[in-house]
Amino acid sequence: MFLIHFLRWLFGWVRFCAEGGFPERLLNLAAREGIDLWGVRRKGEKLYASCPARQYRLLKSPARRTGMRIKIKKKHGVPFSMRRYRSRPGLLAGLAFFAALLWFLSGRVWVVEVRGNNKVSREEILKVMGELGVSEGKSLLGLDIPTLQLQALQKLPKLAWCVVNLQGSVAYIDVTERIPAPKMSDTNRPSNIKAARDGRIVSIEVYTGQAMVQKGDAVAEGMLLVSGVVESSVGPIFKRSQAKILARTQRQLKVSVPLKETRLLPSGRRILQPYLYFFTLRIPMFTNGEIGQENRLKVTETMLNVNGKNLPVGIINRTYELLEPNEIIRTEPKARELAQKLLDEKKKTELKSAEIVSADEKGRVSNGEYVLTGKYVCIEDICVEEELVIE
Amino acid sequence: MRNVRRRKPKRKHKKNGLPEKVERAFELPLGALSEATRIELMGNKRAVISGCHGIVEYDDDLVRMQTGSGMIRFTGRKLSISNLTEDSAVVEGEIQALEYLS
Repeated sequence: MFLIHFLRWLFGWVRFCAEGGFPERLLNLAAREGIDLWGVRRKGEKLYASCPARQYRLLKSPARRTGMRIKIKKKHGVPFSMRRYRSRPGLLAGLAFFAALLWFLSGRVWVVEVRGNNKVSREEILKVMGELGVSEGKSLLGLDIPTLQLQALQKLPKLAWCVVNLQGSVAYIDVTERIPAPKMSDTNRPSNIKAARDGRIVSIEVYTGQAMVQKGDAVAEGMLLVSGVVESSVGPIFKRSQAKILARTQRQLKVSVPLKETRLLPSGRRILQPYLYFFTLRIPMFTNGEIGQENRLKVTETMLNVNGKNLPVGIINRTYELLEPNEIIRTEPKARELAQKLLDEKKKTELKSAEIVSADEKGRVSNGEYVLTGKYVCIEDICVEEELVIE
Repeated sequence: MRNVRRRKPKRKHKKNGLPEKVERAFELPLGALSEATRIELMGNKRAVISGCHGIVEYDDDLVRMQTGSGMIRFTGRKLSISNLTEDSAVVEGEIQALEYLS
Protein backbone atom coordinates (compact mmCIF):
# COMPACT_ATOMS: atom_id res chain seq x y z
CA MET A 1 0.00 0.00 0.00
CA PHE A 2 2.84 2.34 0.83
CA LEU A 3 4.28 1.74 -2.61
CA ILE A 4 1.01 2.81 -4.26
CA HIS A 5 0.90 5.99 -2.19
CA PHE A 6 4.53 6.67 -2.94
CA LEU A 7 4.08 6.23 -6.67
CA ARG A 8 1.03 8.44 -6.70
CA TRP A 9 2.94 11.13 -4.83
CA LEU A 10 5.94 10.73 -7.10
CA PHE A 11 3.98 11.19 -10.33
CA GLY A 12 1.43 13.64 -8.87
CA TRP A 13 -2.34 13.41 -8.38
CA VAL A 14 -5.30 15.78 -8.09
CA ARG A 15 -8.49 15.89 -6.10
CA PHE A 16 -11.32 17.24 -8.18
CA CYS A 17 -14.97 18.06 -7.76
CA ALA A 18 -17.66 17.42 -10.38
CA GLU A 19 -21.15 18.90 -10.24
CA GLY A 20 -24.24 19.03 -12.39
CA GLY A 21 -25.08 16.45 -15.07
CA PHE A 22 -24.88 12.67 -14.51
CA PRO A 23 -22.19 11.63 -12.00
CA GLU A 24 -22.59 7.87 -12.52
CA ARG A 25 -22.13 8.25 -16.28
CA LEU A 26 -19.02 10.30 -15.67
CA LEU A 27 -17.57 7.52 -13.51
CA ASN A 28 -18.37 4.87 -16.12
CA LEU A 29 -16.94 6.89 -19.01
CA ALA A 30 -13.83 7.72 -17.03
CA ALA A 31 -13.32 4.04 -16.19
CA ARG A 32 -13.82 3.13 -19.82
CA GLU A 33 -11.25 5.74 -20.91
CA GLY A 34 -8.74 4.03 -18.66
CA ILE A 35 -8.62 6.84 -16.12
CA ASP A 36 -7.79 5.50 -12.65
CA LEU A 37 -10.12 6.94 -10.06
CA TRP A 38 -10.03 6.56 -6.32
CA GLY A 39 -11.50 8.15 -3.23
CA VAL A 40 -14.88 8.70 -4.93
CA ARG A 41 -17.26 10.38 -2.46
CA ARG A 42 -20.68 11.83 -2.94
CA LYS A 43 -21.52 14.95 -0.97
CA GLY A 44 -24.97 16.10 -1.89
CA GLU A 45 -24.96 17.09 -5.53
CA LYS A 46 -21.22 17.15 -5.77
CA LEU A 47 -18.99 14.23 -6.58
CA TYR A 48 -15.41 14.23 -5.30
CA ALA A 49 -12.72 11.94 -6.65
CA SER A 50 -8.95 11.70 -7.21
CA CYS A 51 -7.03 10.76 -10.30
CA PRO A 52 -3.42 10.87 -11.53
CA ALA A 53 -2.33 14.35 -12.58
CA ARG A 54 -1.47 13.27 -16.11
CA GLN A 55 -4.93 11.79 -16.65
CA TYR A 56 -6.94 14.78 -15.44
CA ARG A 57 -7.14 16.36 -18.86
CA LEU A 58 -8.63 13.12 -20.21
CA LEU A 59 -11.63 13.78 -17.96
CA LYS A 60 -12.66 16.84 -19.93
CA SER A 61 -14.28 14.85 -22.72
CA PRO A 62 -16.36 12.56 -20.43
CA ALA A 63 -17.31 15.60 -18.33
CA ARG A 64 -18.54 17.46 -21.38
CA ARG A 65 -20.51 14.45 -22.58
CA THR A 66 -22.20 13.96 -19.22
CA GLY A 67 -22.82 17.68 -18.75
CA MET A 68 -20.65 17.95 -15.65
CA ARG A 69 -18.34 20.72 -14.56
CA ILE A 70 -15.07 19.54 -13.06
CA LYS A 71 -12.75 21.64 -11.00
CA ILE A 72 -9.46 20.82 -9.29
CA LYS A 73 -9.67 21.19 -5.55
CA LYS A 74 -6.16 20.30 -4.59
CA LYS A 75 -2.94 19.20 -6.24
CA HIS A 76 -0.53 16.76 -4.63
CA GLY A 77 2.83 15.28 -5.45
CA VAL A 78 6.34 15.97 -6.66
CA PRO A 79 5.54 17.61 -10.03
CA PHE A 80 3.56 20.36 -8.32
CA SER A 81 6.15 20.84 -5.58
CA MET A 82 8.88 21.09 -8.19
CA ARG A 83 6.92 23.72 -10.09
CA ARG A 84 7.06 25.95 -7.04
CA TYR A 85 10.84 25.99 -7.27
CA ARG A 86 10.86 26.59 -11.04
CA SER A 87 12.31 30.04 -10.49
CA ARG A 88 15.03 28.68 -8.23
CA PRO A 89 17.23 26.52 -10.43
CA GLY A 90 20.09 26.89 -7.98
CA LEU A 91 18.20 24.90 -5.37
CA LEU A 92 17.69 21.98 -7.69
CA ALA A 93 21.23 22.25 -8.98
CA GLY A 94 22.44 22.24 -5.38
CA LEU A 95 20.40 19.14 -4.59
CA ALA A 96 21.72 17.39 -7.67
CA PHE A 97 25.28 18.42 -6.81
CA PHE A 98 24.84 17.18 -3.26
CA ALA A 99 23.52 13.82 -4.48
CA ALA A 100 26.40 13.50 -6.94
CA LEU A 101 28.96 14.48 -4.30
CA LEU A 102 27.51 12.00 -1.82
CA TRP A 103 27.61 9.26 -4.44
CA PHE A 104 31.20 10.14 -5.34
CA LEU A 105 32.49 10.37 -1.77
CA SER A 106 30.73 7.18 -0.70
CA GLY A 107 32.44 5.20 -3.39
CA ARG A 108 35.97 5.98 -2.21
CA VAL A 109 38.28 5.04 0.62
CA TRP A 110 38.95 8.05 2.85
CA VAL A 111 40.45 6.56 6.00
CA VAL A 112 42.96 3.72 6.17
CA GLU A 113 43.77 2.24 9.57
CA VAL A 114 46.37 -0.38 10.34
CA ARG A 115 45.86 -2.64 13.33
CA GLY A 116 47.92 -5.39 14.87
CA ASN A 117 51.42 -4.28 13.82
CA ASN A 118 54.34 -3.93 16.23
CA LYS A 119 57.66 -4.36 14.47
CA VAL A 120 56.48 -3.74 10.92
CA SER A 121 55.96 -0.01 10.57
CA ARG A 122 52.61 1.50 9.67
CA GLU A 123 54.22 3.49 6.88
CA GLU A 124 55.63 0.35 5.29
CA ILE A 125 52.25 -1.38 5.33
CA LEU A 126 50.48 1.71 3.98
CA LYS A 127 53.02 2.04 1.19
CA VAL A 128 52.48 -1.53 0.04
CA MET A 129 48.72 -1.22 0.33
CA GLY A 130 48.84 2.00 -1.62
CA GLU A 131 50.57 0.21 -4.48
CA LEU A 132 47.84 -2.43 -4.42
CA GLY A 133 45.04 0.13 -4.57
CA VAL A 134 44.07 0.68 -0.95
CA SER A 135 44.86 4.27 -0.08
CA GLU A 136 43.04 7.51 0.56
CA GLY A 137 41.01 8.68 -2.39
CA LYS A 138 41.03 5.38 -4.27
CA SER A 139 37.79 3.92 -5.57
CA LEU A 140 36.06 1.08 -3.75
CA LEU A 141 34.79 -0.39 -6.99
CA GLY A 142 36.95 -3.03 -8.55
CA LEU A 143 38.89 -3.78 -5.40
CA ASP A 144 39.64 -7.48 -5.44
CA ILE A 145 40.15 -7.94 -1.73
CA PRO A 146 41.21 -11.63 -1.66
CA THR A 147 43.81 -11.09 -4.39
CA LEU A 148 45.32 -7.96 -2.87
CA GLN A 149 45.54 -9.66 0.52
CA LEU A 150 47.67 -12.40 -1.02
CA GLN A 151 49.79 -9.86 -2.88
CA ALA A 152 50.34 -7.89 0.32
CA LEU A 153 51.61 -11.00 2.11
CA GLN A 154 54.06 -11.62 -0.73
CA LYS A 155 55.38 -8.05 -0.57
CA LEU A 156 55.55 -8.04 3.23
CA PRO A 157 57.22 -11.33 4.22
CA LYS A 158 57.31 -10.25 7.87
CA LEU A 159 53.54 -10.62 8.03
CA ALA A 160 51.88 -13.98 8.61
CA TRP A 161 48.34 -12.81 7.98
CA CYS A 162 46.74 -9.76 6.45
CA VAL A 163 43.09 -8.88 5.84
CA VAL A 164 41.37 -5.77 4.53
CA ASN A 165 37.92 -4.96 5.90
CA LEU A 166 35.89 -2.20 4.34
CA GLN A 167 33.35 -0.42 6.51
CA GLY A 168 31.81 2.36 4.52
CA SER A 169 34.72 4.54 3.49
CA VAL A 170 37.09 3.22 6.14
CA ALA A 171 39.52 0.48 5.26
CA TYR A 172 40.80 -1.49 8.23
CA ILE A 173 44.00 -3.41 7.57
CA ASP A 174 44.38 -6.08 10.22
CA VAL A 175 47.75 -7.81 10.31
CA THR A 176 49.53 -10.46 12.34
CA GLU A 177 53.31 -10.44 12.29
CA ARG A 178 55.32 -13.51 11.60
CA ILE A 179 57.28 -14.96 14.52
CA PRO A 180 60.65 -15.99 13.03
CA ALA A 181 61.67 -19.54 13.69
CA PRO A 182 64.81 -19.82 15.89
CA LYS A 183 67.96 -20.62 14.00
CA MET A 184 68.75 -24.27 14.41
CA SER A 185 72.42 -25.07 14.73
CA ASP A 186 73.60 -27.60 12.24
CA THR A 187 75.43 -30.13 14.32
CA ASN A 188 76.55 -32.02 11.24
CA ARG A 189 78.59 -29.18 9.81
CA PRO A 190 82.22 -29.62 10.89
CA SER A 191 84.02 -26.56 12.18
CA ASN A 192 87.06 -25.34 14.10
CA ILE A 193 87.28 -22.75 16.83
CA LYS A 194 89.90 -20.03 16.50
CA ALA A 195 91.00 -17.15 18.71
CA ALA A 196 89.19 -13.86 18.10
CA ARG A 197 92.06 -11.85 19.66
CA ASP A 198 95.35 -12.16 21.52
CA GLY A 199 95.26 -13.27 25.14
CA ARG A 200 96.23 -15.74 27.81
CA ILE A 201 93.82 -18.56 28.45
CA VAL A 202 92.16 -18.44 31.85
CA SER A 203 89.62 -21.27 31.53
CA ILE A 204 88.70 -23.77 28.87
CA GLU A 205 85.52 -25.79 28.42
CA VAL A 206 85.34 -27.95 25.32
CA TYR A 207 81.95 -29.51 24.52
CA THR A 208 82.76 -31.06 21.18
CA GLY A 209 86.02 -31.22 19.23
CA GLN A 210 89.62 -31.61 20.26
CA ALA A 211 91.29 -28.91 22.36
CA MET A 212 94.57 -27.67 20.92
CA VAL A 213 95.49 -25.36 23.82
CA GLN A 214 95.31 -25.51 27.57
CA LYS A 215 94.87 -23.18 30.50
CA GLY A 216 97.71 -20.69 30.82
CA ASP A 217 98.69 -20.76 27.13
CA ALA A 218 99.22 -17.49 25.33
CA VAL A 219 97.34 -17.36 22.08
CA ALA A 220 97.39 -15.00 19.14
CA GLU A 221 94.51 -13.85 17.04
CA GLY A 222 93.53 -16.53 14.51
CA MET A 223 95.23 -19.38 16.36
CA LEU A 224 93.47 -22.76 16.40
CA LEU A 225 91.96 -23.43 19.82
CA VAL A 226 89.63 -26.38 19.21
CA SER A 227 89.88 -28.68 16.21
CA GLY A 228 86.90 -30.25 14.50
CA VAL A 229 88.98 -33.23 13.38
CA VAL A 230 88.97 -35.85 16.11
CA GLU A 231 91.24 -38.84 15.83
CA SER A 232 89.65 -42.13 16.70
CA SER A 233 90.42 -45.80 16.31
CA VAL A 234 88.42 -45.90 13.08
CA GLY A 235 90.13 -42.86 11.65
CA PRO A 236 89.55 -39.09 11.72
CA ILE A 237 86.01 -38.01 12.58
CA PHE A 238 84.82 -34.55 11.57
CA LYS A 239 82.75 -32.73 14.18
CA ARG A 240 81.31 -29.35 14.79
CA SER A 241 83.46 -27.75 17.51
CA GLN A 242 81.74 -26.16 20.46
CA ALA A 243 83.60 -24.64 23.41
CA LYS A 244 83.78 -21.74 25.83
CA ILE A 245 87.33 -20.41 26.25
CA LEU A 246 87.91 -17.43 28.51
CA ALA A 247 91.15 -15.51 28.13
CA ARG A 248 92.73 -12.44 29.67
CA THR A 249 92.95 -9.83 26.95
CA GLN A 250 94.09 -6.24 26.67
CA ARG A 251 91.74 -3.80 24.99
CA GLN A 252 92.17 -0.15 24.13
CA LEU A 253 89.46 2.37 23.43
CA LYS A 254 90.00 5.96 22.38
CA VAL A 255 87.69 8.97 22.06
CA SER A 256 88.42 12.58 21.18
CA VAL A 257 86.49 15.79 21.76
CA PRO A 258 87.47 19.03 19.99
CA LEU A 259 88.09 22.04 22.25
CA LYS A 260 86.70 24.37 19.62
CA GLU A 261 84.07 23.48 17.08
CA THR A 262 81.30 25.00 15.01
CA ARG A 263 77.86 23.43 15.27
CA LEU A 264 74.41 24.26 13.98
CA LEU A 265 72.16 25.14 16.89
CA PRO A 266 68.54 26.40 17.03
CA SER A 267 68.40 30.15 16.69
CA GLY A 268 65.02 30.40 18.42
CA ARG A 269 63.21 31.47 15.25
CA ARG A 270 60.54 29.27 13.75
CA ILE A 271 58.65 29.37 10.48
CA LEU A 272 55.22 27.76 10.37
CA GLN A 273 53.77 26.51 7.09
CA PRO A 274 50.24 25.16 7.58
CA TYR A 275 48.39 23.07 5.01
CA LEU A 276 44.70 22.40 4.85
CA TYR A 277 44.24 18.68 4.19
CA PHE A 278 40.96 18.02 2.44
CA PHE A 279 40.29 14.57 0.97
CA THR A 280 43.87 13.93 -0.26
CA LEU A 281 44.32 17.58 -1.32
CA ARG A 282 47.00 19.58 0.46
CA ILE A 283 46.13 23.24 0.16
CA PRO A 284 48.96 25.52 1.36
CA MET A 285 47.87 28.33 3.62
CA PHE A 286 51.05 30.38 3.55
CA THR A 287 52.77 32.74 1.19
CA ASN A 288 56.44 32.36 2.01
CA GLY A 289 58.42 30.13 -0.26
CA GLU A 290 61.43 27.90 0.32
CA ILE A 291 63.36 28.16 3.53
CA GLY A 292 66.84 29.24 2.52
CA GLN A 293 68.55 28.40 5.76
CA GLU A 294 69.58 25.30 7.64
CA ASN A 295 66.62 24.06 9.59
CA ARG A 296 65.08 21.23 11.49
CA LEU A 297 61.61 20.17 10.32
CA LYS A 298 58.79 18.98 12.54
CA VAL A 299 55.46 17.88 11.06
CA THR A 300 52.29 17.65 13.14
CA GLU A 301 48.90 16.54 11.86
CA THR A 302 45.63 17.51 13.47
CA MET A 303 42.73 15.67 11.82
CA LEU A 304 39.04 16.05 12.46
CA ASN A 305 38.01 13.20 14.75
CA VAL A 306 34.47 11.81 14.92
CA ASN A 307 33.68 8.84 17.17
CA GLY A 308 37.32 7.97 17.48
CA LYS A 309 37.93 7.92 13.73
CA ASN A 310 40.19 10.40 12.00
CA LEU A 311 38.47 11.96 9.00
CA PRO A 312 40.43 13.02 5.89
CA VAL A 313 40.02 16.70 6.83
CA GLY A 314 42.42 18.59 9.01
CA ILE A 315 45.47 20.78 9.34
CA ILE A 316 49.07 19.71 8.73
CA ASN A 317 51.62 22.01 10.33
CA ARG A 318 55.20 22.00 9.06
CA THR A 319 57.33 23.83 11.57
CA TYR A 320 60.86 24.79 10.50
CA GLU A 321 63.19 25.50 13.39
CA LEU A 322 65.97 27.68 11.96
CA LEU A 323 69.53 26.71 12.80
CA GLU A 324 72.57 28.93 12.79
CA PRO A 325 76.25 28.12 13.21
CA ASN A 326 77.58 28.62 16.67
CA GLU A 327 81.17 28.35 17.79
CA ILE A 328 81.53 26.18 20.85
CA ILE A 329 84.62 26.62 22.99
CA ARG A 330 85.19 24.01 25.66
CA THR A 331 87.48 24.15 28.64
CA GLU A 332 89.59 21.14 29.41
CA PRO A 333 87.40 19.93 32.29
CA LYS A 334 84.28 20.25 30.11
CA ALA A 335 85.95 18.39 27.28
CA ARG A 336 87.08 15.65 29.65
CA GLU A 337 83.56 15.30 31.01
CA LEU A 338 82.17 14.89 27.50
CA ALA A 339 84.95 12.51 26.49
CA GLN A 340 84.28 10.38 29.58
CA LYS A 341 80.61 10.09 28.59
CA LEU A 342 81.58 9.04 25.06
CA LEU A 343 84.07 6.52 26.39
CA ASP A 344 81.51 4.99 28.75
CA GLU A 345 79.10 4.53 25.85
CA LYS A 346 81.82 2.93 23.78
CA LYS A 347 82.64 0.54 26.61
CA LYS A 348 78.99 -0.52 26.83
CA THR A 349 78.93 -1.48 23.15
CA GLU A 350 82.42 -2.88 22.54
CA LEU A 351 83.13 -4.47 25.89
CA LYS A 352 79.55 -5.62 26.44
CA SER A 353 80.40 -9.29 26.95
CA ALA A 354 83.77 -8.78 28.64
CA GLU A 355 84.50 -8.57 32.35
CA ILE A 356 86.82 -5.63 32.99
CA VAL A 357 89.49 -6.60 35.50
CA SER A 358 91.41 -3.33 35.50
CA ALA A 359 91.12 -0.02 33.69
CA ASP A 360 93.56 2.76 33.02
CA GLU A 361 92.05 5.89 31.48
CA LYS A 362 94.27 8.81 30.62
CA GLY A 363 93.49 12.03 28.82
CA ARG A 364 95.60 14.67 27.16
CA VAL A 365 95.21 17.64 24.88
CA SER A 366 96.59 17.15 21.41
CA ASN A 367 96.12 19.27 18.26
CA GLY A 368 93.18 21.21 19.67
CA GLU A 369 91.41 18.05 20.83
CA TYR A 370 91.04 16.37 24.15
CA VAL A 371 91.94 12.72 23.67
CA LEU A 372 90.85 10.18 26.27
CA THR A 373 92.42 6.75 25.99
CA GLY A 374 91.31 3.77 28.04
CA LYS A 375 93.36 0.60 28.44
CA TYR A 376 91.51 -2.34 29.88
CA VAL A 377 92.43 -5.80 31.00
CA CYS A 378 89.42 -8.01 30.37
CA ILE A 379 88.39 -11.60 30.70
CA GLU A 380 86.25 -12.60 27.78
CA ASP A 381 85.25 -15.47 25.55
CA ILE A 382 87.62 -15.43 22.58
CA CYS A 383 86.01 -18.28 20.59
CA VAL A 384 85.07 -17.72 16.97
CA GLU A 385 83.73 -20.64 14.90
CA GLU A 386 85.13 -21.30 11.45
CA GLU A 387 83.70 -23.84 9.06
CA LEU A 388 85.96 -26.74 8.25
CA VAL A 389 86.30 -27.22 4.50
CA ILE A 390 86.87 -30.85 3.61
CA GLU A 391 88.21 -31.56 0.16
CA MET B 1 -2.68 15.97 -31.62
CA ARG B 2 -3.52 14.92 -28.09
CA ASN B 3 -2.70 11.40 -27.18
CA VAL B 4 -5.99 10.28 -25.67
CA ARG B 5 -6.21 6.77 -24.33
CA ARG B 6 -9.34 5.05 -25.53
CA ARG B 7 -10.34 1.55 -24.96
CA LYS B 8 -12.68 -0.60 -27.04
CA PRO B 9 -15.99 -1.34 -25.27
CA LYS B 10 -16.21 -4.92 -24.06
CA ARG B 11 -18.55 -7.41 -25.66
CA LYS B 12 -21.81 -8.07 -23.80
CA HIS B 13 -21.57 -11.07 -21.56
CA LYS B 14 -23.84 -14.00 -22.46
CA LYS B 15 -25.14 -16.27 -19.69
CA ASN B 16 -24.99 -19.99 -20.30
CA GLY B 17 -22.68 -19.37 -23.24
CA LEU B 18 -19.94 -21.70 -24.46
CA PRO B 19 -17.50 -20.98 -21.58
CA GLU B 20 -20.13 -21.93 -18.99
CA LYS B 21 -20.98 -25.14 -20.90
CA VAL B 22 -17.30 -26.12 -21.06
CA GLU B 23 -16.95 -25.41 -17.31
CA ARG B 24 -19.92 -27.65 -16.52
CA ALA B 25 -18.76 -30.39 -18.88
CA PHE B 26 -15.26 -30.55 -17.46
CA GLU B 27 -16.42 -29.78 -13.89
CA LEU B 28 -14.13 -26.78 -13.74
CA PRO B 29 -14.66 -24.12 -11.06
CA LEU B 30 -17.14 -21.44 -12.00
CA GLY B 31 -15.42 -18.43 -13.44
CA ALA B 32 -12.35 -20.36 -14.61
CA LEU B 33 -13.24 -19.74 -18.26
CA SER B 34 -16.30 -17.51 -18.11
CA GLU B 35 -16.42 -13.93 -16.96
CA ALA B 36 -18.30 -14.50 -13.74
CA THR B 37 -18.48 -11.61 -11.29
CA ARG B 38 -16.45 -12.03 -8.12
CA ILE B 39 -17.34 -10.14 -4.97
CA GLU B 40 -15.06 -10.24 -1.94
CA LEU B 41 -16.46 -8.88 1.26
CA MET B 42 -14.15 -7.89 4.11
CA GLY B 43 -16.61 -7.82 6.99
CA ASN B 44 -19.08 -5.07 6.33
CA LYS B 45 -16.48 -2.45 5.64
CA ARG B 46 -15.18 -3.25 2.22
CA ALA B 47 -16.27 -5.03 -0.94
CA VAL B 48 -14.05 -5.73 -3.92
CA ILE B 49 -16.02 -6.35 -7.08
CA SER B 50 -14.31 -7.80 -10.16
CA GLY B 51 -16.34 -8.06 -13.34
CA CYS B 52 -18.06 -4.73 -12.81
CA HIS B 53 -19.42 -3.18 -15.99
CA GLY B 54 -20.35 0.27 -14.69
CA ILE B 55 -21.95 2.32 -11.95
CA VAL B 56 -25.66 2.76 -12.40
CA GLU B 57 -26.46 4.77 -9.30
CA TYR B 58 -24.22 6.21 -6.65
CA ASP B 59 -25.14 7.98 -3.47
CA ASP B 60 -23.93 8.25 0.09
CA ASP B 61 -26.13 5.33 1.20
CA LEU B 62 -26.61 3.42 -2.03
CA VAL B 63 -24.42 2.05 -4.78
CA ARG B 64 -25.93 0.20 -7.70
CA MET B 65 -23.75 -1.34 -10.36
CA GLN B 66 -24.07 -3.56 -13.39
CA THR B 67 -22.02 -6.73 -13.33
CA GLY B 68 -21.62 -9.85 -15.43
CA SER B 69 -23.99 -11.65 -13.09
CA GLY B 70 -26.62 -8.93 -13.20
CA MET B 71 -27.41 -5.78 -11.26
CA ILE B 72 -26.20 -5.60 -7.68
CA ARG B 73 -27.00 -3.05 -5.01
CA PHE B 74 -25.07 -2.09 -1.91
CA THR B 75 -26.93 -0.24 0.78
CA GLY B 76 -25.40 1.24 3.88
CA ARG B 77 -23.96 4.46 5.25
CA LYS B 78 -21.09 6.69 4.10
CA LEU B 79 -20.47 4.53 1.08
CA SER B 80 -17.60 5.54 -1.19
CA ILE B 81 -15.94 4.03 -4.23
CA SER B 82 -12.34 3.92 -3.17
CA ASN B 83 -11.12 2.54 -6.51
CA LEU B 84 -12.74 2.34 -9.88
CA THR B 85 -11.31 0.85 -13.05
CA GLU B 86 -12.80 -0.42 -16.25
CA ASP B 87 -13.72 -3.81 -14.86
CA SER B 88 -13.40 -3.60 -11.10
CA ALA B 89 -14.49 -1.44 -8.21
CA VAL B 90 -13.94 -1.26 -4.47
CA VAL B 91 -16.78 -0.06 -2.30
CA GLU B 92 -15.94 1.07 1.22
CA GLY B 93 -18.08 2.25 4.08
CA GLU B 94 -20.66 0.74 6.42
CA ILE B 95 -22.29 -1.91 4.17
CA GLN B 96 -25.64 -2.99 5.52
CA ALA B 97 -26.95 -5.06 2.62
CA LEU B 98 -25.93 -6.56 -0.69
CA GLU B 99 -28.68 -7.54 -3.10
CA TYR B 100 -28.83 -9.11 -6.50
CA LEU B 101 -31.58 -7.29 -8.35
CA SER B 102 -31.70 -9.38 -11.48
